Amino acid sequence: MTDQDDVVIEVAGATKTFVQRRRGERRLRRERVDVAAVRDVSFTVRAGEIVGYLGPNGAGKSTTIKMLIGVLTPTSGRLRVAGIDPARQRIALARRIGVVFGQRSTLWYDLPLRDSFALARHLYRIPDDRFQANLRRFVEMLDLGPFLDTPVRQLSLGQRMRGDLTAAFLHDPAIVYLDEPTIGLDVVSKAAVRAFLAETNRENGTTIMLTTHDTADIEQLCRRVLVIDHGRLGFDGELAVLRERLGGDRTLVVDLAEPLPALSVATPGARVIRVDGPRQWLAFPATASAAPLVAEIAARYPLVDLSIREPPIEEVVTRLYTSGAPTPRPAPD
Amino acid sequence: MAPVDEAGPVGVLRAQLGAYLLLVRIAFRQAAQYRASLALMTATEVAATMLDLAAIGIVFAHLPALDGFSLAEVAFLYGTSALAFALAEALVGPVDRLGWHIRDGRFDVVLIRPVSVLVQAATLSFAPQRIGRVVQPAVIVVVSCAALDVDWTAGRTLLVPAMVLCGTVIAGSAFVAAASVLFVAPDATVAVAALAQGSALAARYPMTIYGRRLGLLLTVAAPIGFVSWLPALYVLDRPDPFGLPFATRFASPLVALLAAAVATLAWRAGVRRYRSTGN
Ligand SMILES: Nc1ncnc2c1ncn2[C@@H]1O[C@H](COP(=O)(O)OP(=O)(O)O)[C@@H](O)[C@H]1O
Ligand SMILES: [Mg+2]
Repeated sequence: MTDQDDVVIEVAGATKTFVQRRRGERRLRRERVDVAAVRDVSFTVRAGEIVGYLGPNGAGKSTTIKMLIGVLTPTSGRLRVAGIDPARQRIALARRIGVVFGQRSTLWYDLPLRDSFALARHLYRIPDDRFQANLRRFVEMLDLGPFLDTPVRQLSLGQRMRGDLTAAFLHDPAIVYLDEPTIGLDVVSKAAVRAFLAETNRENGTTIMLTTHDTADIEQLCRRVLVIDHGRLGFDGELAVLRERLGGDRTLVVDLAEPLPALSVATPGARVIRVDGPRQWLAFPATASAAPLVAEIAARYPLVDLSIREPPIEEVVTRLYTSGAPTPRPAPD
Repeated sequence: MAPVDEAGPVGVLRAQLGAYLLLVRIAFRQAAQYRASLALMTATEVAATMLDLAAIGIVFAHLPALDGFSLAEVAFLYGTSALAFALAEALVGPVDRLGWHIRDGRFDVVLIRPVSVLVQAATLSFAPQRIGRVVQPAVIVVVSCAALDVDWTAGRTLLVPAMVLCGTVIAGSAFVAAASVLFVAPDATVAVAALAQGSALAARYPMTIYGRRLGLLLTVAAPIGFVSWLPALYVLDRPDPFGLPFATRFASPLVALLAAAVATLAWRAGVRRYRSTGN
């Protein structure tokens, strides 16, 4: 057990089985079905990491997070967060963590944001100077000023999410979990959320674990990703490694000076997949550099602008599970 | 290693009580946002209470004695138990809404706050206007005490508030224990509410009206007899029709402690079995 000092999240063989009751085919009696939402999942997270938790819908992401925050008691296995058993010492844990649910606000619906924060100050017993300093800083970072006095139920989704983010960080938590924090948000709000997470992680050293379906969230925030499907952890490592291992295509989008027929390019593996007026989309292997392809097009065609898109995370994840047996997890470090 | 709370159990209790009062204040403030509806509901509650009082008055006026109990005695029994249940209802009554909150997926949030789940469940649908329901039984207790023909020794006088307090704890514990079922079966809200209302009704009358078997069962096992019936027998200076030991008349505090312990265990078991909602 050396070098374990800065491990803040420890999950060892965590399993959660739900008993679901379904109406039987013909009979009126309901039958009980065991659904293993999380099966024998193990990982550790060190202080200050930002970890992306990925997987298709129903994979077990939310269930894992609910076990980590003490909402669900694991069926078996061991979990420790900041040295605390989440389900057993819920209140002690609650002071050390922050939680954001994209689908549901943790704020008081009928209260203005300002009152919700003041209430949190009392419930979390935040020292006054910390509270004032944090609030001032977050209000500025997230531009909350214009709607601080609006009841939460009247806020837009983006405004509400900024309020929720503030509430989750006000008490200087060591660890913050976010379950789909950018779902349904507009581009500006998404950017605000990412910038906020990146800065609090950098400045306060807050450990962050988030689930998302948005590639950009992962790319801009997470060096390390965990991938889960059907309750099993299939990958634990760097995003770049995951990409490399699974391949997939990147997309080069080029804007030409005029509409042209599909470009014919000689770079190996590259091909046009879509043409729309002067804009064309070319797929090329994720493992290859974009430089030769860009150079070739620039030399032969009237290139005005270009951008490169990484393969969507969802696609990468799907590939992970259709490419046969889950890859063995490399141990962190 | 378990982090020790510096404050100790008393500090924890104080903090939770503080959180309770704060959340009740918030409930008032939230209710005040819908001022018109709050005013309307309060008016309705007051009107209902007055009607209730009038109805009880009429019933009692035409009921010289019930199973050998005088009008004042019946009123005393009725008032003390109804007051205990009304106080319990005002304090923790809203826990039976737990089922709704769970089904709507609003309960995960409760479990991530550093406040007791019970405190939050009791204040989540706290209805300020319900406090008004304490008025009617309180009036009946005062009036019946004045009308009772007993020797008001220090012991009797002290027993009245003590029995209401113990009764409140017993009734509140029953509410909480019953509501614990909702963690496992959130759809049982109506059944749980019916159980609470039923025991409140049953405790109001002399236990003898249920006959010996059911009466004893309700008294000792339920244990609504300890809410007011048994201590009331002492206040009224009456023999126990069921022949229970004399000491049972002073057992309410013990039963209250026991009930609170059972409720705590049931509640904890419920929280542990909470299964959230998939979304
Ligand atoms: N509260 C619950 N009760 C019963 N089944 C659940 C519950 N929560 C999740 N599940 C089931 O567990 C599986 C994993 O769900 P979840 O963890 O929400 O997945 P994700 O967040 O990755 O989309 C799904 O099959 C889901 O139906
Ligand atoms: Mg989910």
